[in-house]
Amino acid sequence: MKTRRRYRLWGTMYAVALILFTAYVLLDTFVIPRSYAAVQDSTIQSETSGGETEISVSAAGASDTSGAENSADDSETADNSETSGTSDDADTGKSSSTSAGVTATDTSYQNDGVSITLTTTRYEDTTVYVADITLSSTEALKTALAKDTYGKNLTEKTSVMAEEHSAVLAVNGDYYGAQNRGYVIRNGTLYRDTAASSDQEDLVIGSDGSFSIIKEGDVTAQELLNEGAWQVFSFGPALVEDGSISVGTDTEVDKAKTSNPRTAIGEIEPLHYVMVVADGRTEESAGLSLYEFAEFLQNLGVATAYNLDGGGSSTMYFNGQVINNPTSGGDTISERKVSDIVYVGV
Amino acid sequence: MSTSVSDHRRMRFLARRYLLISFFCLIFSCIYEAFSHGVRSGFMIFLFLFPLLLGAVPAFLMSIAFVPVPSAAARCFWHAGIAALSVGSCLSGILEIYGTTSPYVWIYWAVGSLLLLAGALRYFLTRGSRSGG
Repeated sequence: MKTRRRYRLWGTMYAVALILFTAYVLLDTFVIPRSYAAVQDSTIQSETSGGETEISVSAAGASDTSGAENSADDSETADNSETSGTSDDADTGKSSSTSAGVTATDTSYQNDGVSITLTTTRYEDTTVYVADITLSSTEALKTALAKDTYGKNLTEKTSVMAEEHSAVLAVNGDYYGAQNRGYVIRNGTLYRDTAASSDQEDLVIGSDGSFSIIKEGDVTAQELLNEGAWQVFSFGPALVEDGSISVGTDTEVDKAKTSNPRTAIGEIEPLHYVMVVADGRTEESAGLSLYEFAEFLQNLGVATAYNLDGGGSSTMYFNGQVINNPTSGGDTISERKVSDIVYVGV
Repeated sequence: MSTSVSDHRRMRFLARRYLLISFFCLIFSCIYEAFSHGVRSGFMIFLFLFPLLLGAVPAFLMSIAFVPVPSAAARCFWHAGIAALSVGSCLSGILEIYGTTSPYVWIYWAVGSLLLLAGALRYFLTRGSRSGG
């Protein structure tokens, strides 16, 4: 009888330990924020003061946020999300404003160095938002990390990050924080140099603004940085390379086998880019398979196109508002917090 | 170690209990996969196999075969191993479907396997002696 009680007690303690450990793993994976130091910064080196290393902030982010208050909060973002359904109004390009050489409408933006045209089209029962971007220099194409810090479970909504960095146009990045491996180089800073796998396809944006696709097994992150990589995204796969579709009809992100919301970035020619977001998981917009998405991008004339984080993360922000219908939390229309964005700043 | 009618009855009860747990895991997997927007994970899909193959099947075989039933200590280790592997598989499935990873998942596989091994060793090494429970 005593023995039985002892085993029962042991079983109970084991069950409690298993539950507590699992709770910790879940919290560590999805909730507890952690910031990490960059591996190497080619632009701004980590500053050491008082024995503590301050994590370097992206070069673009540092300059953009100087003197700028974070005035965007969740409620404002919710308002933005609500306006995302007004694509018909956006198509007409009704409102416009001109100030200091800037001409902005609901579907376009133009200043001395940046020209953006936004179009909304239907493709395979899916609403697709295309931002056609022409830049005079590569400096306007930037990335930003949530809370301007590299780490895990550090997230912000795309629209919030975009407002913090005075972005004209922004899409979600590769959600590097959801992975423990895969190269991360942002604005010339090497944050993570551990390869996800030898077959992992990354998008490299060089300091000259050129797009190229590499496999992490073929080159180290340090070599990429030495060769002038300014941004490296580790999600994928590459959708279009040299103008040809580089995914098969059954290729998918990890285990996904169905249509989903998608985000991609592509280069048509030097300093001429597209950012594309496809809505999905709703009755109005089914979403695209990777092959369909690649076909769509090829039709836009891209030489190189790369798939960024999709699903509930897919968000496009333009001229102060979220223009697509992000579906975080299943098929609910709401914007998800993500690790990073790609944006066009001024 | 000896076998008795009550031992075999206990094994049958254990088999039924593991069958129920397997069924629960199967239902859980189906519901989780149904809401995963087409993202599939083998860890989630085959979660039910752990309690079924490691729990229900051995217990059922022991209930019908003339083999000594495991001692309470051996059963304790075995149950704990199945629990660790099942939770580990479920967690792996959740992480895979979400598209993320955790550096801690290997612990479930390691601890689960070690506990199963300890249970098996305990069973085979103490077959000559009968223990209570």
